[in-house]
Amino acid sequence: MLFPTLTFGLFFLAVYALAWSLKASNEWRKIALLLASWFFYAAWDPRFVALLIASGLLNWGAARLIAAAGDRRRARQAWLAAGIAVNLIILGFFKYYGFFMEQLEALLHGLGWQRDLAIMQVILPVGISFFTFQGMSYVIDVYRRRAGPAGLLDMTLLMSFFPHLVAGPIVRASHLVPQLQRAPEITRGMAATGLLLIVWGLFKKAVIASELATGLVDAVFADPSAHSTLDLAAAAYGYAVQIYCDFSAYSDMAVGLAALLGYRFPHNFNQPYRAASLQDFWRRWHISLSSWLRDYLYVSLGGSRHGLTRLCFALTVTMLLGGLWHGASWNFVIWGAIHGAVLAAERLWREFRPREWPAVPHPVGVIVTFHVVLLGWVFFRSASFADAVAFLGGLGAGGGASLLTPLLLGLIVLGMSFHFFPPFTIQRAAMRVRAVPALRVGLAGGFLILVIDAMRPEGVAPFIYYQF
Amino acid sequence: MATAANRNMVGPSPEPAGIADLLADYASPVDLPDPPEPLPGGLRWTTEVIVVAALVLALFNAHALRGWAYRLDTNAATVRLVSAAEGWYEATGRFGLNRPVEAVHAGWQSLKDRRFGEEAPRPPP
Repeated sequence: MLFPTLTFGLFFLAVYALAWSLKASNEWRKIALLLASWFFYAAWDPRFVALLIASGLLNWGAARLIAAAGDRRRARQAWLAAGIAVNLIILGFFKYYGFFMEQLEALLHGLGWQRDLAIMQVILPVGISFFTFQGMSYVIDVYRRRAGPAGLLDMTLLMSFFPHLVAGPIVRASHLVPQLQRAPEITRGMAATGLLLIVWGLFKKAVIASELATGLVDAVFADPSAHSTLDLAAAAYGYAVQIYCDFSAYSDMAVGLAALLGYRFPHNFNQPYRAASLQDFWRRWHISLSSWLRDYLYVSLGGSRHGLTRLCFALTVTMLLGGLWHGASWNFVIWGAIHGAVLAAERLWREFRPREWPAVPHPVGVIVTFHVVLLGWVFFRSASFADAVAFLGGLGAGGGASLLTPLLLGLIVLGMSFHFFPPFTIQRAAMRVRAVPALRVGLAGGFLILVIDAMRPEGVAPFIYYQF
Repeated sequence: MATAANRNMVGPSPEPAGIADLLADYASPVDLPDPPEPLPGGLRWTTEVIVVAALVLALFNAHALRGWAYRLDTNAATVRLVSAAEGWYEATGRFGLNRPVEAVHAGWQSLKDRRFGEEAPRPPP
């Protein structure tokens, strides 16, 4: 059940009506939202609802045991280790089993072993990376005493809540559980921002991302060696715009849908391509993942507390694992390695740049950073390492464009321009909209969706981050 | 990798000039400074907006409803749904309500068909 579909629209209208009709009893309201979330998840594959429930129960149990251990440090550590191990086993089995078995088989063949290994085909549950990371952060926060143990209902709803379930943002217990514990309210400001985010997300996904994918990006990345330099360059820029418009659209809609139900999700994107350094980029792109990696991985690896060498090691390992989080593929590892290496290089540059040298001008920083990100996206999008190499090699091969049209070029320029709008444009607009009568807002909203619907291609592809 | 967006909420806006800094300090993108005058009835306002938008879409976007009904798995219930959606599409069509979407779609399609220079338009898929 994809957000930009009529099926989801009808589902959400029913959930909205049910949730607010139960506002007198917060507990029944949460039960209704939990059942709705399981129904939403079951629309992909009902079997994995059991996994979602089991994951919630395990994390709830681990946190309870950590809290019950009181000041007994070893017991707390043991339950923490058990909680993290269970999450990693679940994630590892569903996400990485096939990849590691294939690598093992290749290694054994290299060593002269001729027989094939019996490798199971494991179906990847949608959103597993998101809900296991959410569960782990909850257990670690309880261990670190940054969050108290939540009730079973709150914990399972935290992990299952449908707006963020399959592609984030990664909402932490310390952010959402206090909201779940009190009766939700909705202000006109929240609703106006939520509605604008939903319509804005719909436009980015259904028009820009879909058009770029179907008209340019998919065809070029499917066979890079068959395309000209201009097509390859256009597809690289097009994919940078597509993945931003696709992923940020999901986040916008998730934040907006949660707001209409009375809950506040955190920021996840903030005009990332205007970043003047890669460090700045990661403060603006997938903020809930980058802050997760910082708080639970980078800090645990030593962070900046043990000198420059350790810091560079922590940065590189964090980004390598961040790459692997996206999927079991060497291309994701290379993507993470590019980001980790450049982050470490930026840090070393800041440390050792001769003081008499001028600082890099801001626009140059923006352009260089964007192109480092673009290089990473080529590996991220390509089906294999060989395809990525063919893509990059083809950039110097010459030839004219054959796929790029004025509309596609316009969409690339438009998508890039979003990053240079005044900050918080949606929120500024919402501050005006909230004072407008509902009839006018409803008419405007309805006609905007109508226009978007008339522009979108038939059908809608799943969000890119659903596969993670 | 810290972000200003993860800081806690602060109070109402002092001056519109500092609005960007203020908005950056909120924990969620849906948090706004308090309005100068209270705006009560958030739930009622929201529900009215959703109902009006849904009515606009039901009246002017019948082709989407029809397309959705046709894509459902076929069974006795969906056959009735397809028939109802088809009837609704014809009814709204009689009043010319389908024309705005058709006009926007045609305009968008002509934009898609444009090519640089003297390239011929791509054949329809």
